[in-house]
Amino acid sequence: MTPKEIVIISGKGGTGKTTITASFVWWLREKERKFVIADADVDAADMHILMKPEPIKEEEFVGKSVAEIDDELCTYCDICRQLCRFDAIYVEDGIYKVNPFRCDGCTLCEIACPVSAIKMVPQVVGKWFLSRTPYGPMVHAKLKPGAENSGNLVTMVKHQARLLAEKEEIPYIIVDGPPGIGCPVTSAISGASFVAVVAEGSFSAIHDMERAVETARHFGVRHAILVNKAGINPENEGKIEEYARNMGIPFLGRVPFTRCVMDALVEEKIAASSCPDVRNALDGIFEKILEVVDGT
Amino acid sequence: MGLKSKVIEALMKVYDPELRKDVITLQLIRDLKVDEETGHVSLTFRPTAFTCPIGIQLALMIKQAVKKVEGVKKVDVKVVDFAWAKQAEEYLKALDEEN
Repeated sequence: MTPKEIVIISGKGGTGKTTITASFVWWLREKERKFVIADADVDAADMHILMKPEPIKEEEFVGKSVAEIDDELCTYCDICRQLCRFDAIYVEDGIYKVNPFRCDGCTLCEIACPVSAIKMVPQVVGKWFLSRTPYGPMVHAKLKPGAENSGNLVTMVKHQARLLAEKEEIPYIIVDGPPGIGCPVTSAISGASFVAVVAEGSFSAIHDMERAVETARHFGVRHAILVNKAGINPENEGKIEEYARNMGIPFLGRVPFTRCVMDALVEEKIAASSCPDVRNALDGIFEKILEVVDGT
Repeated sequence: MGLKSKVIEALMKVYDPELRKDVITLQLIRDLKVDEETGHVSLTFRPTAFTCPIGIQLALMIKQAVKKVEGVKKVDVKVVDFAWAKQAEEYLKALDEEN
């Protein structure tokens, strides 16, 4: 059985992806559907705030390697510092050092060092977790501040979620995607069965929604659009619906902007469980998503 | 050590450079069959992601690693759940024609 992967992205951050994803998880559980939750927003993970995971398994994630200079071997010839194209090597109190945040891991200094005083040391850039939640199993991760390779960590999160879903014959993987259109997003939508793009009625959200749609199209992933916070700008929300129609993209619906959602988030509750009119709007949206996904 | 164990040991030296783990630990190898008598090995390789940018290279590295194991005569690698599976299999076939 191949699990169906449903990814929620947005382009612009802050349109309510996590609020919608958490509501989807709550809704699916109410329908007694089984699923694995995957938080692919490893740079700014926050699904755990609403899902309350209890880690069962935890593993370090190793990212790029960084150069380290052994001062015992170093002969202060300055070759490495001169060659480094990232200005990552500097001298402090006569000792040659590497700035790990500048080092790109290209290994040029390691190769060039005449006395082999430099070696590349793999860096732990984050952790991923397999957890139990009141809603179902969850795979999530945390990237260290300033760390790179979030795209790779997203790939690991999704890979582990897929292995788990296959092993336990769970039909769906619900992925809270990252914002933007960079490598974390391409990793998040790679191989997905369906991508829901969450937009809102602001100019930047519309602009970034279009870029997110282009990304999904580039990777040939089935996608649709929904408007969250409906009511803040009806005119722009109309433009989003028109854009979807012109582009032949399914328009899933509008989720109303209500004070209730703010209160729910403040109390760490799931919007769909606390706000009836949001729940009603999402009911139709989620039914449409399952219709498309189950139809494939 | 049986031929299958040797094949697995060889595969554990094939690393996914993005996730920095070997293909066995990452469970990318499935349906591994090793005929101890004929030396015929067949396996299925599924990359971690459908659009894995190094899927083709990994498929080739997997086949080459297994081909080097003493006692292995023939290696069939099938690639699944991968955007460029067909291209990968053409390259894999070319490896057989090499020698």
